[in-house]
Amino acid sequence: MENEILKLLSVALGTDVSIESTSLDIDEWDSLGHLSILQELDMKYDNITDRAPGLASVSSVKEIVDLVNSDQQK
Amino acid sequence: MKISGIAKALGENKILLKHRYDDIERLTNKSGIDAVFETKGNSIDLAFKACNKVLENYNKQDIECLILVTQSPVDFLPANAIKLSAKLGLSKSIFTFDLNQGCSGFVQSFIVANQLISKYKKILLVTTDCYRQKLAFDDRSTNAVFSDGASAMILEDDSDKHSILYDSTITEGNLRNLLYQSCGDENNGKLHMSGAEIWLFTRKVVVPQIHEAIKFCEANSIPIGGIYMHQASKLVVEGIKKTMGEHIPKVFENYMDYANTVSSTIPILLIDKPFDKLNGAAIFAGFGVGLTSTVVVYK
Repeated sequence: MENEILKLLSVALGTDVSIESTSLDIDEWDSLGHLSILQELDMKYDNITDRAPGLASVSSVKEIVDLVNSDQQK
Repeated sequence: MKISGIAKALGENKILLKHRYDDIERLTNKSGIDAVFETKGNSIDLAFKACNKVLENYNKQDIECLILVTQSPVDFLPANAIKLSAKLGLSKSIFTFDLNQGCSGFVQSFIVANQLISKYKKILLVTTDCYRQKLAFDDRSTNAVFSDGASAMILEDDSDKHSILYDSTITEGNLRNLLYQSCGDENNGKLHMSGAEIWLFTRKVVVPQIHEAIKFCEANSIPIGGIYMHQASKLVVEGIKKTMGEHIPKVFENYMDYANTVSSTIPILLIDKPFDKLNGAAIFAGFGVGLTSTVVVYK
């Protein structure tokens, strides 16, 4: 699951990311970049932002992985 | 209340984003915007240009009311509408005021005008914003989206042949921090935009509002000619369309031509896709700063 999400985030941001990455480390993770992340997550995980709105305010890859994992385990 | 004339004015400098920022292709692909318009003047200068164009076909002294929508005021006081009225040489007996609203400002002021039109038979409704002056240079997301622009619209009483049939407004002031410019030092006085969270607002609030407007039309057998929604960016417009599903009325788009001119996007869309050529009612949907969202059905 983690690798799947990392791959998705790399596509959304157009750059490599790791589990340690944060929005401060990645230039591409700006306001539009974050929006792009949400849209990719919604496509992959069936509108997950409806169930996990916290995804709109996260600032690290780890937080995203945790929220997606939590959603998918329900 | 009929829309009898509209004109626009854009910032005089067209900036190709790739000439200003390195490696911006990723952003322009997502925003759908390659170029923005920027002015060295101010919001009243832009409004003046748009007003002069639309007033070419009217007697200025016949304008009984001027509503100015802006979040780029030149003066704290008096109202900027008063300054514009004098610059245009409108009648001294005019009723005039500012409306401080952003991307929902046109739709909200359209509702206000609809209420006033029985008293003031000819209203000049002006939207004007120079957001580019508010942007931090290193904030690529906002720089890749906003343009300076204005619109001027003449609204006339036509004995209810055209009017607003339905309206809905949501105001969520607790979400102010998602899109703001403070009078103080907050964010160094520059515009702050949390694009992702605003996008969630459009999905949770704006989309259901538009659906309700569509339901109203269906329940009253009113054909819908098209939807004029705020042209925030490709990501937002396409996101809303996708969330709304397949069976929706025609959604007009021109963000790729002018970028996000804040309060002027819907009037400029009305110039490109004239309402009087529609076969049916129009849905106007403005949303953004506040956060606020206002939807009307106009026929």
